[in-house]
Order: sequence, then C-alpha cells, then structure tokens
Amino acid sequence: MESKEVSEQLVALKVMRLTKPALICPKIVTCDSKDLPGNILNNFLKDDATSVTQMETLAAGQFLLLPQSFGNIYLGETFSCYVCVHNETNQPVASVSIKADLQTNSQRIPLSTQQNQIPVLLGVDETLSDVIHHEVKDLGTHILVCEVTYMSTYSTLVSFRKFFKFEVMKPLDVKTKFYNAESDDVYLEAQVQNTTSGPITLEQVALESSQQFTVKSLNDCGDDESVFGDITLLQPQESCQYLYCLTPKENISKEIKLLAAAKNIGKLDIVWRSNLGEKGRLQTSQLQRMTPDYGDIRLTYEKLPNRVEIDKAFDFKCKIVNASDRTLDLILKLRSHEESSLLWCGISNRKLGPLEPGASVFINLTALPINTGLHHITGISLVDLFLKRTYDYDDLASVFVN
Amino acid sequence: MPGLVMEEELPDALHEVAVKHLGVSSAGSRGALRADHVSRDEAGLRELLRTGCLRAALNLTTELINAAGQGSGRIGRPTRHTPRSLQLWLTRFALFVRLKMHDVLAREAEAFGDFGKPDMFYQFYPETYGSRSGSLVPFSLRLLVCELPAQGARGGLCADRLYALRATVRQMLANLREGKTEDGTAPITSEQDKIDSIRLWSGREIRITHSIVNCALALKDYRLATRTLTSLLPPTPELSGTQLSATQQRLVSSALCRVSVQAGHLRAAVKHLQVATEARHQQCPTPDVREYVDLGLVDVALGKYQDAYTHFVKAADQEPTNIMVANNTAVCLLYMGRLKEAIAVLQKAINSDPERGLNESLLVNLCTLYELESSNTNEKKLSLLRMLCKYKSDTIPNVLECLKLA
Repeated sequence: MESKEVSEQLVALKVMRLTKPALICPKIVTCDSKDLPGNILNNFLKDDATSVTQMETLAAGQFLLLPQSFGNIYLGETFSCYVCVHNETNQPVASVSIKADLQTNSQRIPLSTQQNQIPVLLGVDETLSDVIHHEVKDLGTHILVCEVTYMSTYSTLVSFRKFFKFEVMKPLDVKTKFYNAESDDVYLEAQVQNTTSGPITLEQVALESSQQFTVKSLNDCGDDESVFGDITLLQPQESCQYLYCLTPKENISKEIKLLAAAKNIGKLDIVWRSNLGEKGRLQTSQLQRMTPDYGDIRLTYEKLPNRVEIDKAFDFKCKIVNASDRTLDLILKLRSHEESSLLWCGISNRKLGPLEPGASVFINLTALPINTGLHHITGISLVDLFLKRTYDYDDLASVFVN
Repeated sequence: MPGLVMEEELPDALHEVAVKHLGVSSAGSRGALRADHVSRDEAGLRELLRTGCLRAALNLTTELINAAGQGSGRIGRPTRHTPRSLQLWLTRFALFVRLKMHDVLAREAEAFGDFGKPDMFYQFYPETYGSRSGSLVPFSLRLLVCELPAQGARGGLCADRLYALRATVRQMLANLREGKTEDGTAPITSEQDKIDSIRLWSGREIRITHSIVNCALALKDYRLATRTLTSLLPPTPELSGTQLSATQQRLVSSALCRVSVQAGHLRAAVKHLQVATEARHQQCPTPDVREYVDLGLVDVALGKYQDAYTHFVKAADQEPTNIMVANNTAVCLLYMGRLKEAIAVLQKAINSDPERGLNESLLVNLCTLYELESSNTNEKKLSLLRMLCKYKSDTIPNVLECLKLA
C-alpha cells in the first residue's frame, strides 16, 4: 500500500490489503517431439511448480499468487488488511502497540483488535501483527489510519501514523418495477446490473418481504434450479432480471383501506462473489410501490373462464367493494351493445342494497357468446343512487370464444 | 515474407542483475560462458534451450534466421520458406512467449498472417519437393500464432482463430475415419498409418480445445471456459466405468472446479469437486494431493483459511516436497495472520528443492512477504538472487520485478 514516508523510527509499519489471492499457471508453450525444440519446452512445463500435473496445457491452475496491487474495493465487500510492525533495531523495543481506524466521510471506525492495543515488548527482528476486517458500508473516500506507539530510547512514549487512502465504489445498479395485479398480488421485477470492472457471480438475490406480504420467488424452475441455468455470472455491465410475486397477507387483503396503505414491499438482499470468491453483500432500502387508486368502488371478476364455447351461456362472479367512507346504495346495469359479441342473460337495473364502507358483495352473472374470438366483457355499470353518478366497467377482462 | 523486427543482442538478464547487485565476482559466468561455446546451429540452439539460457537462445535464432535470408528489413520481400526456417521461427516465437515479449512477437508474427499464402505450401516449390503437396507450417507454430491475442490479453479474436483451426482438424479426423487421407483426396493405404494419424490429430484437437479454454480464462470469460471444458468430459454411457474415462472425468471435473472458484461460483465448484471425488473413488480409496488441494482452494474462496490450511497440510503429508502445496500453505498462513510461519514455509520449500523451488511466482510471493515483514529486505532478496545464480539460468522474464529489487 502507498503511504507517505515517515522519518526514522525504531519500528517499521507495513500494511498489505488482503484481497483474495489469484490462481496462476505457467506460460503454456508446447511443441511436437519432432520440432526443433523437441520435448525441451514440454519438459519445462512439466517441471514447473505452477503447472497442474497431467493437465499441463490447461490454464486452470492450482498455484496461489498473493495480491500484487491494492485493487478496487466496492460497497458491501469486506476490507481486510494485514498490519505488521517490525522491530528494525538490534535491541528490544518496549511498549509497542498498534491502533487502526477507518475514517469515512461521516464517521471514524475503530478496527484493531483489543489485544494489539495492549503494549508488548518486541524483541530483535520480532513482529507484532494484526489482520483486520471491516465490511464497507459507505461509498467514497476512506482513509485507513494506523498509529504505532512504542517506547523510545529516551524512555518516552512516541508514536507515528501512516495513512492509506482508498475509494469505495458502487458494485451494483438495482432497478425495480412494480405491477399491481387485479388479484391484489404485486409483481416486482428487479434488474441487477454489474457495475464493477470484472465478472461477478450472483450467489443470492432474495426479496425479504415486509410484514404485509408473503413473497414467492419466480426465479427457480423447481428443484432449486435457477431459471438462469447453472451460471449466474455477470460480465461487467451485464444485468440479470429477477421476478417476485408478493401476496398481501389475509388480514390486509380483506380490508381495502389496509390494502391501499400497504406501500412497503420489502428489501432486496443481494450476495455476490467475484475474483476467487471475494464476497460482497448489499441490502436495498425498503422498496415502496405506488398503490392503485380504487376510487369509491372497486369491481373485480372472479371465477371467469379463460375460454368459452360459442352459443353456450357461461357463469362468473363479480365482486364489488365499497372503497369510500360512506354507505353506498347501488344499482347494477347490464347492457348488451349492438356490436357486442357477448349478450347478458339476467336482470338489469338490479338494486344491490346498502353497502357499508369496506364491505363487499358478490353477484352471479351469466353471458352468452355469439361470436368467436377474443372479446372484452363490456356493458357493466354501477349507478350510485345518492350522487346519481354512473361508473362504467368496460375493459376489466376478456374471454376467448371458440 | 517475414523478417526480424528485433535484432539487437539480448544480454543474460539474470547475469546482468547479479553483476549490478552482487558484483562481478559473485555473479559467476555460467550462462555467459555457455552461450559462447555452443555450436551456431540447431544443436547449439537446443543446448541453450535445455540449459535455460533463453535469451542466448533467442540471440542464436536471430543469427540463424538472418543467415536464412529472413533477417531485418526482409518483411514484405520475397523469401524461400523451408521446414528448417519455419522451425527456427517456431523456436524464436516460443522463446518470446516464455520471456513475455509480446509486442515484438506480435509484430514479427504479423508477416505470417494466417499461413495461407502460396509460399507456405510445398506445391510452391516443385523444383525442390517434386509433387509433394500440403502446408510447410508446423502445427505448433500455427497454434502458437493463433493464441497470440490472448497472450497479449487483447481480445476475442484469438478464440475465433482457434475455432477455425479446430474445425480444420476435425475435418481431417473425419476424413481419416472415412478411410481417406487427412486432406480427403485419396484413400489411406495402411491401417497402421490411419491409427497413428487419428491418434496424432485427436491429441491435437484436445490441445486446441485447451487453448480455447485458456483464451477464455485470459479474458475472464468463465462461461465459455466452463462450456468448453464440459465438452472434454468423457462421453458416458459406453465408456463410463473404464479406468481411462475415470481419469479423464477427474481431471476435467477438477479443472471445472477451479474455473468455478475463479469465477466465484462456489456452489458449482463444490458440485464439480464432488464429481471428481466420485471418479477418484474408482481409482483409489483415499484422497490424494490433487483432491486435497482442490478442497483447500474451495475453502480459500469461502474465506475458511483455517480449513484450507488443514487440507494443504494433509496434501503436504503425502508429498512433502511438493512446491505448489508448500506455496499454498504459506499463502493460507498469511491470511491467518501468521506471516513469520508463511515465510519459513516458503524458504524451506526453496532450500529443499532449489531447482523447482526457485520458481518465479513463488519468489514473487516470498518477496511480497519479505516486504510486509520489515523494511530491511534487501539482504534477503539478494540471497535469493545468489541462489538463482547458483541453480538457475536465464529463464525469468524480469528478475528485478520478480525479486522486487529497486
């Protein structure tokens, strides 16, 4: 790690960031035995300590190489480093201790383990070391401040500091989209993009739902197998799309007011690994959906078949919920338009009786399809007798007639 | 119409560094002496190669290629290719790769193109070869040049060229299996020739596939690497259970495990390792070095350094002189906060087998640890340099960088 040089001290402080080591292999060059170099180059390869026995021409090595540069560091990764204090003199140095802090834009975090802050006697050529770990939770500039204290030759405590500066970058870009379904389910689409400079493997992308919902992940095709196949590997700038279905819990779904207020969906918890298993973890803030505006009355269909036969009447249910604050007195009108392919059977202008706020009523309906094809269910309207207002419901659902 | 781009004589790099840091007397003169005393021909070239005087060997290729009329300034001018001149180029290019001299290699290789020019074929020289037909280019040279963009880590072109080469080899194999000659023009007469040729070209096909994997790994395209490696798994059902296929299954699964480790896909790594273990059971009942090392590498990826250390130590129990195992044990020790022990393990590995232990990557690791330990590293690095002079020749591309000497 780079640092500003300090003046002559009795002890030396060295710091190395411990990113994961790399797997390396030799330079692979081979020849046929009848070529000029004969088997000489092949034997070089066989004798090389970094080649894999019996797989010498394959670069999937087994030999670990220590990190040779500081590398990049991303939010959610763990910053690890080796801090080492060495006695550079030919006499023991007393009362040596290390203190390490991490200064971010907003706070100063103590990192060193307690035991290394207790002063020790460092013999000739001895070292005092510490491996520190810190999960990076802030973006931007970080400064690792290492302070070493020891007893000088004049029996006074002296200390010096070294500073190591690094930038924490954003590893992922998460975009979310919500779809509110008729059934009160909420679908969440989350797009996770790799914004690091190397490939990453998404180990886990989970949605932890809020208390109002239960969540079902739609990213497996049974047997724990991911829809993305075996490899959820993202090259730089690539992204993966995840889909979740959230169902409101029963106590929420039966009260339209609570349903309209259920904005908190949950948090996405993402775990990824990059080079040789370097791990990172991020949790998004609480995701919020736009709740649908139900107005005064909410009308939905239930038990509606997808496909019906021509010239045969079919039944379904219609649910009407009073989403307003007052009691409603409603009339249900059924009109079959001239060009309509579905003819209503049954009574129009039916009075539904008073409906308390939050209460619901189910109505059985019957229709007769007279043309084939995909047809909207049209011609249903509700009249509020108090306000004399008519609500039309023409494009809520379709059926296929064959 | 190739020609030399680099003509200057390269000094023995190890010797040069040793003279600068240790003085003339300590540096010795093994390499330099040998370079002057070999015969100036192919036999001398092989002698220099064999003794690891790589830069001296490179200088000799310069001399011999010059004499063959393809020296500097000959790029773009008509020349005669012979099997001999192409072997000289092959040797030269192989040395460039080993010495990591990618730029000059790329420039000298450019003149060869894709080896499709008319003067690369026997037919171009009827006065010399009569009715003989086919390419003059040795397979090793072709493969080496195909791999070039990956060696310089430059881009995806390399995989395309390797696929083209593999397609040609597969066509030749198909011709052979139909009882024809490689080029498909005539029936093959001898059954033994057919068997030998199929064996040769099948081996080359696998070698090219390895190169495709290597190229993918260099570009960190782990998807391609995994897919290509998977194609090397033995074809089950008819062959499964045989000793040969168990070996192949093991080797490939073990490689797949390590590719997954590099990609950070640890679930897959564990799965591949299990397959490798099952295949190993068909051969021997207890884990061997390869398996312990793979287990250790998965633990390193998981951040379980203590467990990894235990596995590497078990591997070392079986092969106490294995340099790679000692190296991986030392790396683990560092992550466990045991720097002094890590240094001791590496030093012991070097002292117990200097020929193999004085490996470039191991030296990089050791010097990294020296630098972390204290400010007074120079003497330790110089003693490594002394050992290099004693046991090794001019094989390390950059001695200063390797020993982190200023």
